[in-house]
Amino acid sequence: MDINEFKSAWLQHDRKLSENLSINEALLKKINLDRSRKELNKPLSYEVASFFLFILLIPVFIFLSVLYRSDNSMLISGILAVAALVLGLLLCIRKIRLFYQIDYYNQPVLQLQERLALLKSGILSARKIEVFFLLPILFFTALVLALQHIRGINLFGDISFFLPIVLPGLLVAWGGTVFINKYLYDKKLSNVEALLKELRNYQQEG
Amino acid sequence: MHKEEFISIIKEYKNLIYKICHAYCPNPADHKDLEQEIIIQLWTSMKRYNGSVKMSTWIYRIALNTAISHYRAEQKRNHIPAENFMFLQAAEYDPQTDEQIKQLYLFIEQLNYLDKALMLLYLEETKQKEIAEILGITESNVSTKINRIKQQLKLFFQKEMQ
Repeated sequence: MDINEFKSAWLQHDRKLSENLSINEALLKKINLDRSRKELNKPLSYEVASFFLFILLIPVFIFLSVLYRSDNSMLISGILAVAALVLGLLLCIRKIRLFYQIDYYNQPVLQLQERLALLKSGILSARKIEVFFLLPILFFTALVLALQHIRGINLFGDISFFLPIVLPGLLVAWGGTVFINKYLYDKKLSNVEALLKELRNYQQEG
Repeated sequence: MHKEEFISIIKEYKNLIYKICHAYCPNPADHKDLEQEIIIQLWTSMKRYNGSVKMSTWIYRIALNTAISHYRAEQKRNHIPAENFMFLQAAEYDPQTDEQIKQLYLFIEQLNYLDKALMLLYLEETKQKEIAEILGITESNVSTKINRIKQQLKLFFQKEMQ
């Protein structure tokens, strides 16, 4: 079969479809097509909610840092918490920007697929920073400051009590994150990178 | 846009949707899943159509993008049972019983996801300029790729003959 036979067979296929293919109008009218919009906006809504959460938390931690500025360990915890929150906010803004660069309705196929891959890569890279850096710092510093503020307990007060509990936990968490990083995020990121390369090659050929 | 108006657009492009679904999802269950996704995407995007490109170009873009994303997505999403969603029904015509058409789809199936789109557009007799516009590549690139697919087609049928 050559290309012309191929084309004429395809036209015949099209003609047969025109004669036989019908639309289930009743089903189309019944289904709530609008619900899809909510599903599509879910990840973006999550990022917008995170953005406002960071905006709310930054002044709280600045306030606590200023309140306990006389204690160096508390002040350092506060500064670290604020730095982590600012970083989180910046990552959030970056992700929201990537979402808005996607125009599902007007971009050509390759550009849209490229944007989607860039979004995925951006989200994965940000998640790596969030999971391995931001969350542990925030958890630790928030614990230190919250215990001091709410219960008046200084976690750094008794280091012999603190280290046997925290240090083993940190080591286990570190091992776990290295494993997750290698087998989850890095693998997914390299898949996205391969896709981006493939799309760019496809555009450049010819 | 009213649903009636939307249904008339779907009627006009039903063959195209069917062929894209068939090319990207030969499995009937996935086929219906993709059909549903394309129709929902088209409905969602109808309000954004501003006439800057031809309606056919725009429908091709959305349908192909949805098909490619669907094709690439991992099979971890919750599939809705196929029998509940059969918007398009081909009464008394099953392309699988037509040997020539079966061969065509077999050939399309072994192409990569981007060449599949290109081949579908080419078979629909879409002009090279429009193909370039839909896919986002240059016209010369379109022409090179079509020639390459033609060679692949030749080899494919030579192998089939043997």
